[in-house]
Amino acid sequence: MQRRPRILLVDDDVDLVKVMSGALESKAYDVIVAYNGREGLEKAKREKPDLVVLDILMPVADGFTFANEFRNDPALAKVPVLALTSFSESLGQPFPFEVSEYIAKPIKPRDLVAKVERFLKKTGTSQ
Amino acid sequence: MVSKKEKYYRSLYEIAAVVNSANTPESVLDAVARTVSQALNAKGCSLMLLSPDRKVLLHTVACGLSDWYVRKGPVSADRSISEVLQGKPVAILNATEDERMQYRAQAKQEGIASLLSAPIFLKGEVVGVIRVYTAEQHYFANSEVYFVQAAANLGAIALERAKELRQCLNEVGRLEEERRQFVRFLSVVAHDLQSPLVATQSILSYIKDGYTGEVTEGQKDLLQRGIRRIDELLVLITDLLDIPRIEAGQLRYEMHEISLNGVIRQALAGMDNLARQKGLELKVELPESAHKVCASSRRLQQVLNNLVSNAINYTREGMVILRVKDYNDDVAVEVLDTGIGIPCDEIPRLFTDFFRASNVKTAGTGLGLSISKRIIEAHGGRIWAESPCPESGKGSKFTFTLPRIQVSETKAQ
Repeated sequence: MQRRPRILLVDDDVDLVKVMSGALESKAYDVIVAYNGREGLEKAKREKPDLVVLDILMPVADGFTFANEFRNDPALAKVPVLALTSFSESLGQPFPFEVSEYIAKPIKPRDLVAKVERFLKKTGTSQ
Repeated sequence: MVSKKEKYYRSLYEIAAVVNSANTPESVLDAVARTVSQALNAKGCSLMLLSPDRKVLLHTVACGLSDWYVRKGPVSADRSISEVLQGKPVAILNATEDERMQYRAQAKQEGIASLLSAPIFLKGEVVGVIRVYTAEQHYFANSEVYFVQAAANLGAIALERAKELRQCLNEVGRLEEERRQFVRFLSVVAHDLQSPLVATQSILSYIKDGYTGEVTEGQKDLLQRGIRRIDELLVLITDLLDIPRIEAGQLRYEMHEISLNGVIRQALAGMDNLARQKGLELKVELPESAHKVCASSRRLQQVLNNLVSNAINYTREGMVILRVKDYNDDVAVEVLDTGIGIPCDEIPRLFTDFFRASNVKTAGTGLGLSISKRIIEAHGGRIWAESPCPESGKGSKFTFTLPRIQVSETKAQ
């Protein structure tokens, strides 16, 4: 039997993580949660997610550090990464690696689920 | 053969060029010593500057002399060159025996036969001494003395300028660092102010969308009102923090060569819907050949968004047109509408902070246009408004210009 699509959620905001994971779980996704980039990398390597939702500004290894190491891992290089950016924050420079899509915060949990579904359909991991 | 006179002129010309360039103090003095030494066919040349207490002269640069000789010790100002320090050049024919020489034995070992010492003047004051050394005994002619002195005085000016320049650069560096710290500070403030709002809004949306269970229409309406109020606050925070960021010159780091048509298409994605919902036509007239501009794509989209959404919001029926035009050497973007227009006595204040036209009733911060103005001006452009629109006699017309990048022939291939 095919396993359920696995989503890794990396964000330092506990409340955001609670509602985003709640919304994703309601769609029968396996949701793995990490509260910083370092923890996110460890879990990504262990759990091999099908998609990552990544906050960019985080303490302890931000989204930049995360995505850099993430893309260098051959097993993870092709996994879609949806990057969350706070809508007024300027990155000042282009993100130095490929991100599948940028999502400006604030995002409604419902809209996030819709985006995740679309990407999983594209990569053929949807159930 | 090159005449002596010509050689001097050329040397002075070379030194003047060094004076004019932005060099370090060391490289300026070095260039003077080398040029003088070559012009006079001398063994070497050195420049010594008076110590702050004016008691000794310190070798600052030298050419044609051994390190050993240069480091023999400070030349005491009262003994060997007191005359020079009073402003008169002194030539010594026999350096190894002349009583005025402080380091006779060393001069003999170094192979110095004669030397000329001349004062270096800056703003009428002696600041140091230039010395020319010859290997053979040599009577220094007046023309040579004048030449050496002219060269040394030019060098002194250059030295002063180089020092001032270094001070200026240090100051610029300090201000740049302060500015960077300020922008970093603003980013932290923005993030910390917005994070709780973003989280709260997500929680409200989560409840409203039924993830926690059935929600009545009445509850939905209240939750939606809460979400909208948070939106207002998020926009206000963004706008307020945008102003100092733009003024701190942050845009410079975001500016790249981009296609104007591309930015317009990105900015207008979604605007179509907004116009259709109001029953308006949104017409976009882009030129076939895409203009290249040096701009921050994100900020330019912000301006376009602001102008087009204003046009849609303040137009009840008719159309909104966005078009790109040549404007002298610049490129102009125009946004025209058939809306309520702007009272003509209010147009001059339209781009000031917090100003809202008296015929506007919807909510807003009154910062959109003033931020747009800052963004356009940071790009080297201009922005203005006309009402009614001169073409249609209705609504209003906003125009902004941007300097165009000239596409060179090689790039166009």
